[in-house]
Amino acid sequence: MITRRSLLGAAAATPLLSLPSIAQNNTKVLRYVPSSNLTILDPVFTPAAVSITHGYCVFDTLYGMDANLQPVPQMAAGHTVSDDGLTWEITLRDGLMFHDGEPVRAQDCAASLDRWSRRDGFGQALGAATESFSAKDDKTILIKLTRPFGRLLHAIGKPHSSPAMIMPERLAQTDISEQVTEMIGSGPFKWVADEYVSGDRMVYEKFEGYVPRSEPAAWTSGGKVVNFDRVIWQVIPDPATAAAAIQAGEVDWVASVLPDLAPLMEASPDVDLFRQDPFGLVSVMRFNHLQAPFDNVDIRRAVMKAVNQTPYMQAVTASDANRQECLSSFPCGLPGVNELGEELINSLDIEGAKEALKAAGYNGERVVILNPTDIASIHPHGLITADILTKIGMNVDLQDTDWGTVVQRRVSKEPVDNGGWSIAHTNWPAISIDNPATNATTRGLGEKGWWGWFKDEEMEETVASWLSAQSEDEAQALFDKAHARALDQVPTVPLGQTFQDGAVRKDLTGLLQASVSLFWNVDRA
Amino acid sequence: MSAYIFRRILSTIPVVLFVMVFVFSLLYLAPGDPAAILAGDQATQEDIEAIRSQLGLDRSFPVRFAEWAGGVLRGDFGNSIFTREPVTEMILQRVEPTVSLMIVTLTIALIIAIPMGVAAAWKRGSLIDRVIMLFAVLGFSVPVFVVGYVLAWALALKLGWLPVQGYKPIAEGVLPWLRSLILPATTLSGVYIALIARITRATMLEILQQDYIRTARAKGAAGHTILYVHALRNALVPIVTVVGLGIALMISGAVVIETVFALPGLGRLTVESILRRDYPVIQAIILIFSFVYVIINLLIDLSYTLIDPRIRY
Repeated sequence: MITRRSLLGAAAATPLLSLPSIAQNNTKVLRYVPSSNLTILDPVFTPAAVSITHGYCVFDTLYGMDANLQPVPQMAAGHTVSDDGLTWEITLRDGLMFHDGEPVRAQDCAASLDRWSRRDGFGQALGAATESFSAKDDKTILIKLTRPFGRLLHAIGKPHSSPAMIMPERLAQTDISEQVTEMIGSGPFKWVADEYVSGDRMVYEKFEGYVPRSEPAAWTSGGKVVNFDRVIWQVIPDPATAAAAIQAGEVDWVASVLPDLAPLMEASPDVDLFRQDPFGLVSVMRFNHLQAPFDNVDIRRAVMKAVNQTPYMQAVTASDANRQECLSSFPCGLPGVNELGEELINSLDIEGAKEALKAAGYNGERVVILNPTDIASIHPHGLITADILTKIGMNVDLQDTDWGTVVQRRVSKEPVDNGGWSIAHTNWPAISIDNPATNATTRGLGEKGWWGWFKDEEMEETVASWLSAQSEDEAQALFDKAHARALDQVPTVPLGQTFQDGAVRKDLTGLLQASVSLFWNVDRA
Repeated sequence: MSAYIFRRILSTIPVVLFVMVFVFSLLYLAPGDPAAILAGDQATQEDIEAIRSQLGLDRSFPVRFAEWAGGVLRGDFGNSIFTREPVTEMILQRVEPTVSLMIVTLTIALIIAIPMGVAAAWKRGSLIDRVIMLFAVLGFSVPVFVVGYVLAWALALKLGWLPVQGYKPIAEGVLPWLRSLILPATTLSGVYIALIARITRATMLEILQQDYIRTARAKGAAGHTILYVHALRNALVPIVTVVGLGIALMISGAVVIETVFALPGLGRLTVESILRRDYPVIQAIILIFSFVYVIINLLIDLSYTLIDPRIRY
């Protein structure tokens, strides 16, 4: 029989539930909350940041990026280039091993590079200049080019959006339109497939067979020394819950903190804010170049005249520290990027834009703006653009919908009356659009390129010349030429650079800056 | 009785068949393209077409439906478009947290709501009645996520008694399992406590006016005997009906709670799958939910015979 006394006793015992229930052992665990769920495990198949974070745990790259964003050997010991620049030989360093115990061979690397070159934009540019990726012997990768490609190491060492990660040959032979699901790499962590629950938990174990380089770790290069036995990712979909979890000490690292919650994190005695990516995100307004009215460059220029970056950035950040005006079609602060757009972007000249629009022959064509209401970092941009375009006299049709629908509709080349679109907004990790070849927002590949389908032969010739450039001076001049062309042709309107902070427990040390979270070098004080 | 059960189970077949056709058609017609989501921001039209072809999404409606329905009849729901894992495995991974949440929520709700409803009816018009009814109104009115945040702030962040988030499987021990569920289940139970308490009160008020209750009182039966032996037993049919409906409604309530407390349940899997257009997962979950609804209704109907011997099928 339940008595009042027993009920009171049970209530009093409730706090005991908070006592640790599982016997502690000596396993050193790092608990991490990714910015989104990990659904696609193949980091070459998708450019999604969370998949790349996962990729850097499991896989390694031939070259990594150092603190100056220059490619340095990672799996490679070094390389040689023939005098004509058409033959590259990359030698593997000693001690490389896959998680299944097999040694890493040049054949694995050649097959991985071949697959990657069919998927990634920079890789495709390399692939187009490549006769073959092959193995000279087990330790030497042989790349034969059809024309010089001065940026080859930058391409295979790129740190973001489908990096050239090395897999066993049998996995790398998977068609590029199909995902690799068996996670065998040679990276510093092993994937624990048995504990994977998509939407909840991903587990990595230290790979004892990994031999770190001797150089200090920086970005994706140097010694990848692992100090934790296990790294456990826990998916927490609600940002407020993630913030509470790190305050309560239930997790060590939250990849992304909602701007509104950042002051709360700063005030917490046990938590620090951590800016993972110092270059942040670049927001862009993308035009559909196949359909009126934005098939007319003068109308695109008129819209750019009316834009001011500040409200776009203010709408998605909480403080000045999280935003930076960048009057450029390339991300500010990255190597080779000069801010060339000071006279073209940010003028907020509404009257001038009205006149320019009239002079350009705008006939009141409907402008359909695709606006995802479920993406907080993009949704306000659609609202601001709609307001600006209305002010300059355009016939705006703002279509609010969910991200899944936007992603489908923005690849439609149809006119707006048949389900097509005129403007869509998105964000790019700055590091992934840092040069004329990788910057999809400025490339002029037309219908074979990024949605919006900007076509410009002059731009493509400049990109090809930049890729072949043999000296830094020549490369810089061509970079600036491509940049100036982009500002003139307005394939997109740059809307500024924003920075997102994560949160870490104060006892964590050795966190590395990069475009994604990296778990080597991190330790607990 | 067994013939009735057989007939009822047989009647689920057309329901499930209808749901199969309806859900598949709806998803086929709905906007959104998993191939475009999979391909990512940089993808060209060619990349997307290649993925669509690889996944078989470029085939006609009848071909895709026939393949899917054939698989379902063999017990194979296919693979997730995104993770490439078998859908059955994904769903099985998510069943335990949702079922656990439901069981604990219902237990809390029943333990609290029925005595509350009985007390409110017994003390009709008193301060106790008014306080209980105020609680019931609050339970209906305050959104569960608000209750969740407040409870998490107080019991987890400030007092440190319970975890803020996460789920511990029962295999790791009953105590950790229960500990991970107290906050979410308490949060979710608020609305069910309100619902069940109100129904209990209303039914009890009606029953307490019956002649046989007056007779029991005249015979000198004790107050708690009248309430719990004579009155409550006869009030159970509508209460059980509401509890059954509550279980069905709980699946939608679980979506919010599983998100707020990071429980890896079916509710979250459903929302995530819808947002990324993971058709095989959505189809399987809706099909299973519809089947569960039918079974719950059957169980409720059968329970009437146990509660009220006059009911026969």
